[in-house]
Amino acid sequence: MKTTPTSQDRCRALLEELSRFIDGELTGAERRSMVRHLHSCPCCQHLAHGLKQTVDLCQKAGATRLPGDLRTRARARITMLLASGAPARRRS
Amino acid sequence: MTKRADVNPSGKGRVGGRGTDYAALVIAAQSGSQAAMERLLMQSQEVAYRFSLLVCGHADDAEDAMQEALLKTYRHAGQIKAPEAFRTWLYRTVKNACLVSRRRRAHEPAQLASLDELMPTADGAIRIIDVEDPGRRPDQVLENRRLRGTLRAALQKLSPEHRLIVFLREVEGLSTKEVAGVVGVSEANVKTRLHRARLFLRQQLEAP
Repeated sequence: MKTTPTSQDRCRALLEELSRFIDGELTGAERRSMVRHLHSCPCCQHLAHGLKQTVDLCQKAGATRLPGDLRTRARARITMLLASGAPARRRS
Repeated sequence: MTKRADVNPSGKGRVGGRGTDYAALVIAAQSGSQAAMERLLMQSQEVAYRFSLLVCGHADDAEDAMQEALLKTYRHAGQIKAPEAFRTWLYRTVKNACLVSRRRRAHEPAQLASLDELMPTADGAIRIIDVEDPGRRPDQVLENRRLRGTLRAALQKLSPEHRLIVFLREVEGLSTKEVAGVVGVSEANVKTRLHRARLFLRQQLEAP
């Protein structure tokens, strides 16, 4: 018996491609298909938005700075290290 | 064509590992620029700190890892013949410094998420996650702080390999190829695991 894909099948198939969509790795046709589906499916649209926001939050974590005391000690170690030996240079 | 060696060696205005031109810094350091060498050494320590915090989940281990990364970077920077390979070398070095001698801690989650079995579903509404820079309103600052804490806790529920991939790709901005090189898996494997990890993190961030 021939079966047709349900909307849930469609959602599931596209969700597997969401990361590629977020990373800009879909082809033009794939991207257009994804955008069309997201416009017509609020659930997938919300999920895509949440996934993008999660990625953005992770990226912001990359801006974590050293706490003040650790930064001070890190700088002191660099100063000591550079003062203790010859500067690193490329081997000839 | 050789890259310019004097690309912002001070790193002013730059926060975190993203966008850092390590190859240019290595070339400048090898040419005798102390500012470039200092920047490289600070970057290596910052990477080790973020790795300890987000991958190992133990900021109290950070200083040992920072010191190890500092010394290895100093010794290696003058020797490297392929400056463009420095970035992946740094992350492999930091990974080893943080993980190799580490023993499993008693308070690590007993059960890690099995993401290979996690299937995405399209159910339920999603709360909008505020990822704006802190500083505008006190409630935004608090919300961002809470989300960062939630993110750190969610990361600790991932398997070490998924966590490492999220860290390298999302937090530090390595390419898929670079991540594959550091982790030692295929690029396809990196993409699959990253997708599963993203879905899991999204789910965790939305949990009440």
